[in-house]
Amino acid sequence: MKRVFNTLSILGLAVLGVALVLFLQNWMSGTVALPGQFFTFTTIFLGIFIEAAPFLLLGTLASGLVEVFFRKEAIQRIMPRNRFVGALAGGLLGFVFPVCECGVVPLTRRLFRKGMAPAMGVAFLLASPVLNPIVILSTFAAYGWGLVLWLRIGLSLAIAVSTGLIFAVEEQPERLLRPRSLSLAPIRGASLDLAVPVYPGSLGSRVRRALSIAGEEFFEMGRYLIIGSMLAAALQAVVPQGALLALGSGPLLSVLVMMLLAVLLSICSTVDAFVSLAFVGTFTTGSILSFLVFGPMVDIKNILLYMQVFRRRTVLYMVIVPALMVILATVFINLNLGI
Amino acid sequence: MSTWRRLDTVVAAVALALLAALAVVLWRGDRVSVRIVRTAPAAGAEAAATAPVVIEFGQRMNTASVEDSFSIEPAVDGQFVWNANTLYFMPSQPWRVGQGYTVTLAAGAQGQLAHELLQDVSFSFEVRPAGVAFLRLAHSGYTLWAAPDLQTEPVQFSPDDGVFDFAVASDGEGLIFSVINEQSGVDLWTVSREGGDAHILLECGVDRCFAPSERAGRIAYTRVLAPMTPAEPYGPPRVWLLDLASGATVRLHADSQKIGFGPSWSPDGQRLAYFDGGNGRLVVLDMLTGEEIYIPTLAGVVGSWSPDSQYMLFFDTLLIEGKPLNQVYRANFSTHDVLPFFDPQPTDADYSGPVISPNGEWVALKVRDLDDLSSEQLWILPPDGAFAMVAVEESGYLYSRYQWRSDSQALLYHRFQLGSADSDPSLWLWERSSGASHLLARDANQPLWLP
Repeated sequence: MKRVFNTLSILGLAVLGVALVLFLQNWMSGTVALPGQFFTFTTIFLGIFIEAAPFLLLGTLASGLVEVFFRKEAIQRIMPRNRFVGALAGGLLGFVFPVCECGVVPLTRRLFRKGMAPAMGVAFLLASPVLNPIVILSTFAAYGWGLVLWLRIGLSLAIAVSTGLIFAVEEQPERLLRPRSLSLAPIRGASLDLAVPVYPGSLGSRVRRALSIAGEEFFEMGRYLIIGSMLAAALQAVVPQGALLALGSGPLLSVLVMMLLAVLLSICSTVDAFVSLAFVGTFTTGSILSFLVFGPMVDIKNILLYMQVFRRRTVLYMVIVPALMVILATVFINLNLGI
Repeated sequence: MSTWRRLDTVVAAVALALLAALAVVLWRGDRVSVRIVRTAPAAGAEAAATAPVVIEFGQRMNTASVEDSFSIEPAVDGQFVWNANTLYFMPSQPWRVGQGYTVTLAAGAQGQLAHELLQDVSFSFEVRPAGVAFLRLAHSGYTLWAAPDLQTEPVQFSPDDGVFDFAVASDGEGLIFSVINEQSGVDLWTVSREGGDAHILLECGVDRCFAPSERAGRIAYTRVLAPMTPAEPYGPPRVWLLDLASGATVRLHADSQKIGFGPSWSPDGQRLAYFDGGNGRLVVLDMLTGEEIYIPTLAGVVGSWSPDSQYMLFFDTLLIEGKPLNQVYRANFSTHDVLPFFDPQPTDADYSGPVISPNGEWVALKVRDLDDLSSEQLWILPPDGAFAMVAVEESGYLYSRYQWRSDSQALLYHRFQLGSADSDPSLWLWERSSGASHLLARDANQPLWLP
């Protein structure tokens, strides 16, 4: 807990620092009123948080239901033994659990606790924000049944499965995860004997328990969502989007700019396709794809949520490996496909 | 926990492999090339003397890079105008009729985002002689007629009557005309140079859209909004723009208080002039910078652009001893000054309607004796007004809509007789070489060259 609060303190101080810089900047220009960026910050913060919170709630609900209704050995029985099949299944699990990038984190944590293999869990974590019916439909609504939709699906699946397979080399999953993720207390007074039904009792009492777990987990993860949203909002208030976009020419730079934008904007994957429409014609198809594929995998609030499940080094790898894969794939598209 | 594990090794190896693959992809460079959507004039086809060279790209381009890669053989001067992904090259002077030209865009022209042109693109065209288009009075209004060249008989181009006015597209491949519709509004129509495929370009419903002027894929036109109720009068005219590629139409000025009519593009497509009747002035708007230049005049018509778009000749109506008198002026857009065309200003005659020749070496204008308002003369003189010669003079006739042929060697004009029930409005061509005029068409009005 100490380390968590240290991290939170550092992040909180960072946000306060940004606010202070904004205030001083305004004060030096002779105005004592709250700077305009502050209002931009609050608007963006509320926008990101309000958009993401329902999906986090959905994820924690799924997590609670998994905890109460699924036994570890039952889940382990249906887990694929083959690593590749496991990673592929993880990549497609979003069709069973249609959660976006906020909701997938608590659910994955719960599934890890129930014995899910790292390859499958990482693939699920990275792919499900795109490979779920809601996001596919929203991308279809924005782009139609065109190459953008299919490339988004294909690249997201390929990158998530490949990254998952890389993590499959780690034979000891606990070396990827924070100890707390594996020893996560399900609920006060519950049995930890996973060989028996986890929560015996009537259906009503089990649902109540699931909701209770979901509530606790929502408030636990919600703190990080708030901090992540504040950080994303602060960065957007300080770094003008126009300045960033002005840099975005060239096959490589345009991809890097759009990936950075995706990280800063921290938009939910259910709506990011509509946001990206604004860049069509100004940016290449490859760079727009980098926004649509990388954004759901990695953004500021995601990184904070990942850090509650994985060790820091694992999180670092989960950012670097997909980033390099997205850059390679989308630069290749920019330079080799006439789309 | 900080020991080097198998996962670290694998991640490092994968990262290195990805970076190496990225380096290879970047080293191989662009394998796609910039896509060229269309070029005009069509390769091997005949083109209008006024046609711009058009190259439409599949993406936003680095304009400087494209302009550096652009060449024409034989070489001609001109201006580049960009409209989104499309480049327009406007020759400073019309192409020479009968001459062949080859346009080349060299490999290396860069897109703004990712690609570049991998191979030279080249196309050739030959310049055709001009025809003529005009309006002819039918049962209940005018019809549009045209002859694609002066050797063929004119034929009717508009499906029906009710034509209000028309313009010729700058590439000469089509005509844009306004037609009164069933709601008493006026729509914009288009028809090909050969007279086929007449269709509505812009449905205006109960509004009235007319006086089109096209340049670089954009049509500027006058639009008068219909009143809310039939009892109210029509509103003031405003200038609107219609983008031919997208079909989108918007008011030129967001400020609805800015009114005007009769828009006219400069030859380079960079400026748009119109008459602001509310303030009694011409407005010349720089489309790139948004700068507006105001030229006071009561004449109500836009003047004639110089071929380089740097100045305009126009006329203003003065009151001399209580009588109206037209005088010609030169508005210079570089120095922002307006000076009399003649120095000193003569007050013995009425001078109006100056028209500058395409090569910029001649001006045609209309002169009327103050003592005999029923007759006019067409004068030809150099732009400095140093001397003048009478080109056309017939007692009892008035002239209008005169305009130079692309080679600046002939003048098309409209002639009609004042005060005659059988005035027989007709089209004539005056040629500099012979100094004589000959009849082109009878019962014809509002003529325009059809290049």
